[in-house]
Amino acid sequence: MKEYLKENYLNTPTGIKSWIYTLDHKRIGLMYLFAILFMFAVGGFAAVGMRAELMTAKAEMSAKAYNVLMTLHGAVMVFMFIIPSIPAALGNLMMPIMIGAKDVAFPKLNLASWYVYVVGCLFGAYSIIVGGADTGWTFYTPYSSTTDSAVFSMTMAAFILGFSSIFTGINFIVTIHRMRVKGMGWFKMPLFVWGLYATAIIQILATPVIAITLLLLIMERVAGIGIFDPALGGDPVLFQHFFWFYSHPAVYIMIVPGLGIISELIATFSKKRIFGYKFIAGSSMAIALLGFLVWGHHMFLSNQSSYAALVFSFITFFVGVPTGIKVFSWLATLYKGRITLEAPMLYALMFLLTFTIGGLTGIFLGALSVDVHLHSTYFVVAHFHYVMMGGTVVAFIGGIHYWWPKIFGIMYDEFQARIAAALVFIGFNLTFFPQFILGAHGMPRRYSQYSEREVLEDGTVVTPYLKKEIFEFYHSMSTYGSWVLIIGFVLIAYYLIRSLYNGKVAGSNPWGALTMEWEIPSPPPPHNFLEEPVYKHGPYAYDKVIKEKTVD
Amino acid sequence: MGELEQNIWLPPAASTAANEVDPLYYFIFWASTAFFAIVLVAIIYFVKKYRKDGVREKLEPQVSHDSKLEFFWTAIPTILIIIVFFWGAKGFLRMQIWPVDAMEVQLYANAWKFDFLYSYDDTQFKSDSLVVPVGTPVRVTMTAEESQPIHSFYVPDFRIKKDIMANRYSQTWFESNYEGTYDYYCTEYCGEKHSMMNGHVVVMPKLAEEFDDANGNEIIDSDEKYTDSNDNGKWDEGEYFLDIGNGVWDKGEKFTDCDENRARCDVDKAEEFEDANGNMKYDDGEQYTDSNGNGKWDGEWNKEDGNGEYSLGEPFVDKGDGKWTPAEQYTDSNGNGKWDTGYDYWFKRKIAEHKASNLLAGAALGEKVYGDYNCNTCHSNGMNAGGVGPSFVGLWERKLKEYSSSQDPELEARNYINESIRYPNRYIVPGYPDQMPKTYTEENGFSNEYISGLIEYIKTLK
Repeated sequence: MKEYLKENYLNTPTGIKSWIYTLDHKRIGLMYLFAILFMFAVGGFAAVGMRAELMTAKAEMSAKAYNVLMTLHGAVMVFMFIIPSIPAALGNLMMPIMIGAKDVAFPKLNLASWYVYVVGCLFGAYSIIVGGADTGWTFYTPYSSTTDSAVFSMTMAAFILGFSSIFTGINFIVTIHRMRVKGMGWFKMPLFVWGLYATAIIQILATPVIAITLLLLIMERVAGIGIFDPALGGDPVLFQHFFWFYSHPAVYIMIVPGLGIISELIATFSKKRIFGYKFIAGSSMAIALLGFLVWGHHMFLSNQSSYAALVFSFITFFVGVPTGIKVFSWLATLYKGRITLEAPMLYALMFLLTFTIGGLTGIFLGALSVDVHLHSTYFVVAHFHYVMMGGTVVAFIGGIHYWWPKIFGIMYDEFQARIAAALVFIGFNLTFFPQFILGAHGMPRRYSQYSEREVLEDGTVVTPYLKKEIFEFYHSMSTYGSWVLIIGFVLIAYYLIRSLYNGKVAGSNPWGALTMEWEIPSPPPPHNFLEEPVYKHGPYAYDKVIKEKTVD
Repeated sequence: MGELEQNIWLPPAASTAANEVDPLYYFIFWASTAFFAIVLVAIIYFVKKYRKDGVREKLEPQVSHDSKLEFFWTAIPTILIIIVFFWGAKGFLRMQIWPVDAMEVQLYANAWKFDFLYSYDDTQFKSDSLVVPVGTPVRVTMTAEESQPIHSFYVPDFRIKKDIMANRYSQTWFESNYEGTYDYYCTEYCGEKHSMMNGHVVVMPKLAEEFDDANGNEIIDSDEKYTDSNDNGKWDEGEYFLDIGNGVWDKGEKFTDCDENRARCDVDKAEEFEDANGNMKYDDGEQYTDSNGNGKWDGEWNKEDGNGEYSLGEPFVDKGDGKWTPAEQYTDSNGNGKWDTGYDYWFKRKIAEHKASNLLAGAALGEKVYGDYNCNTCHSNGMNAGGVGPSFVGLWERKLKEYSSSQDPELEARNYINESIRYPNRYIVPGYPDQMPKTYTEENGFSNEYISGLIEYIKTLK
C-alpha cells in the first residue's frame, strides 16, 4: 500500500480528552516520545553549559552552579530520558504490532505509567526550581544525607520514575508471553522484542531495589535514622552496594533495547536473514542475567574486600563475551547482503563503531589494576557516553528514523538526515574521544575547574594544577565537539518537525522490511490491524519473501 | 632513575605501581585497536562490496548460522579476557600489599583539603603537600572525621587511588623513583569545592646535599660558606672554593678567598684565569674561562651592585621555604649547579618548627588521651585496675593474630579499635557489659588524631 491511511490512530478519535484518557499503546508511546525528547533537550542544555565551563581551566561559573548542572544532566538523562527512552516510547509504539497484538496486556497500567512518569518529572522540575540537587546522579552518601540542596525532591523523582519503569516492564512481560499472534513461537519473534523482554525482566527485578534504597536515604535525611551516614552509625558503602545493585543492571535497561533496534536495522537494510538469531536473542538474556552479578565493579576502590573485587572483575569480563557475539553476528549479517544506506542504516553502522569503542574501553575499567588508575576519571565518563550515547542514543535516533514513516505515515528529507547523521558522528567522537585521553592523564570527573586551589579561609595558598595545560587542550577539543553535536541534533529536530507538514507519503512499507508492523497501513489504524493478523513468515525471512518498497 | 617519559596515552610513570598498570593498559589498548580495526574494515568492505538496491530480484538461500565461526568468535575473546583478568588481578593485589619497611604518613581528608600528618617521637606536624623521599616505599594511612563525605586520594603519575571514609582507616602505598613534583586530586565527589581539593606530592632526594653548618643550627644560613649560590650553574666571584690541598688557589680550583668574617673577600676575580705572573690578580692578556659566555672576563664582585645576583656580603634573607636560597654553603653532589634539598632536611626543619608548639604525637599523645578521657577507668594498661572493659594490654597482638588470615591484619586491627571507640556497641567482647558511652565523637572534640595516638599507645602495651 502506497497511500496514507486517512482514519488512523492519530486522528481517530479526536479531541484532547481522547488523548488524556487514551488506552491505545501507540498514543501512549507517542506521548512518551514527546515527553522523553523534551527531557533529552533539558539534559542536553545542562550538558552544553557544563562543556562551556570546562572549555578553559578557570572557573567561569560558581562551583555550586556547576555541581547543580552536573547533577541535573545526570539525573535527567538517566532517570527521565535514557531508561524510558526506547522501551517506553518506541517499545510501546511498535512492540504490540510486531507480535501481532492489538494492544499491550494492561492498557490502563500503561497509561498510568505515563502519568507516573510525568509526576516523577514534575518532582525533578520542582527540585530544579528550588535550587537543584548537587549530589551527582549517584546520590552517594553521606554527602547526599547531609547536603542542604534539594536532594529530597530529586530522589523522590527517581523513586517515582522507578514505578513507571516497573509498570512498563510488567506490561511488556505479560504482553510478550500471552499476546503473540498464533504461530509466532519464541524464536520467531523479532529481536527488538527479545531485547524488550530481557529489559523488562531487569526492570521489574532491579528497580524495587533502587526504590527502597532511595526511601532509606529519604528516611535518613528526614528522620535521622542512621543507615548510610557514619555520623549516625551507618555505612556509606552499603548505599553504594544498594545503588549499584540497581544501577548496574539499569545500564542494561538502557542498552539492551538499543541492541534490539540495531538487529532490526541491520537485517532490514541488508535484506538478509540475521546471522545467529538464537545467539543474539540468547545473548540479550545472558547480558540481562550477568548484569545482576557485576555491581561491585563500580566499587573496586571503595574499600570493599579485595577478594570481592576479584570476583566482580571476573564476572564483569564475561558480559563482554555475549556483547562481542552480537557485534560479530551483525557484521556477518552484512556479508552477502543487499545493503542500502538510508539514514537508519547509517545510525546502525555508526552504532557498530561507537558501541564497539564503548564496549572495548569497558575492558580497561574491568581490569583491576588498570581501574585503579582510571576509576573516577574522564575515562569513565567517556566510556559511559560511548556506551550510552554512542550506543543507546544512536540506536534510539536510528529507531526513530526507522519507524517515523510508520508512526506518522510520512517521510523526512533523506538528504538532510544523512548530513545530520554525519554531524552527529563527527560531533560525538570529537566530544568524547578526547575524554579518554583526559582520563588516562588523570583528569578527575565532576570537577568544575582544573586551574588551582583558591586561597582558603585559613590562609592556605593557591596550589596550581601541574597538568592544567594538557587538560585544557583536550577539554577545549571536547567542547568544540559538543557544538557540532548540537548542530546535528538541531538539524534532526528541524527536518523531522518539517516532515510532519510537507513530508511525502511513506506507504505501509517504505524499507521493504518483513516484521509485522510493516504489513499494516501507515499510520497504523486505531486497533492496529484492519484484518485479523496472521503469522505468515519469520521476521528475517529475506531468503523466502520479497517485499516491494512503498517509497523511493 | 632516568628521564620520565611523556606520551599521549598515559601520564609519566613516576612510581613502581605503574609497572602493574601500564603494560596491561597497553596490552588492552592494542588488542582493542586490533578488534576495532576488524570491525571497521569489515563494515567498509561489506558495505562497499554488497551495496545494491535493497530489493531482491530472486530468492536465494542465505547463510544464517555457522558453528565454526561462532565458536571462534566466542573462544578467542574469552581467552583474551581471562588473560586480562588474571593480569589485572595480580597487579591489583600487588598494589594492595605494602612492603613492611614502608614509612608511614597519615592522611586526614577534610572538605576540601588533604592534610598529611607526619610524626617523629613526640612531635607531629601537618603538611599540605605529601613530601616523601625518593626510592622509599611510603604507606599512606587515611581517614576522615565522621562529618566528612567520602573522599578519594589519587596521584595520576603514581597510578594510585583509594577512597577515604569517615571513621574508617584505609590505605594505599607507593614508591617513587623519580624526584619531582606531582599533582594529587580528590576523585570522589565531595561537594562544592571538590575540584579545589588538590595539591602536590613532592619526591625529594633522601638526603639533602651537605652543607657547612657553621653555627650548628641545622639550617643553612646566609653567612655560611657556599658555592654557586645564585643558581646560575657556574662559579661566580664570591663563591666558596674547594681547596685541593695547598691552601692557595690553583688554576682550576674554584674559589673565593674571603676574610675571617666574610664581610669582604680579597681575591678580585670571578671567572677562572691563568695567573701567569702569580700576582693573584687578573691582568690583561692572561687567559681566562669565560664561564658565563659574555665574551669578557667578569671581575666585578663584592658590591651590592644590584645585578640581581647574590654576591658575597650582600644582605640575605632566608625565607624558610625549605628551598635552597643563595648564600648558603653546600656541596653540589650531582653537579647541577645548585643546592638540592632532601627529605631529611625538610623533615628535620618541620620537626624543629613544631617542636616548640608542644603538641604531643603518637604513643605519647595516646597516653595522655588515655588518662584525660578516662579510658583508664575501665580499660587497664597493666598499671591500673580497669576491669569494667577489656584490658588494653596485649590487645594489638591479639587482634593481629585474630585477623592474620585477612589481607591486611594491621588495617583490620586499626579499624577494630577505631570502630570500637566510635560505635561502642558494634563489637562487644564476650564477658563484658555494653556500657561504654557513645561520647567519643568528633562533636565532642575527640578527633581521629586522638584515635591514631591511642592505637600507637595500645601498640606499646604488650
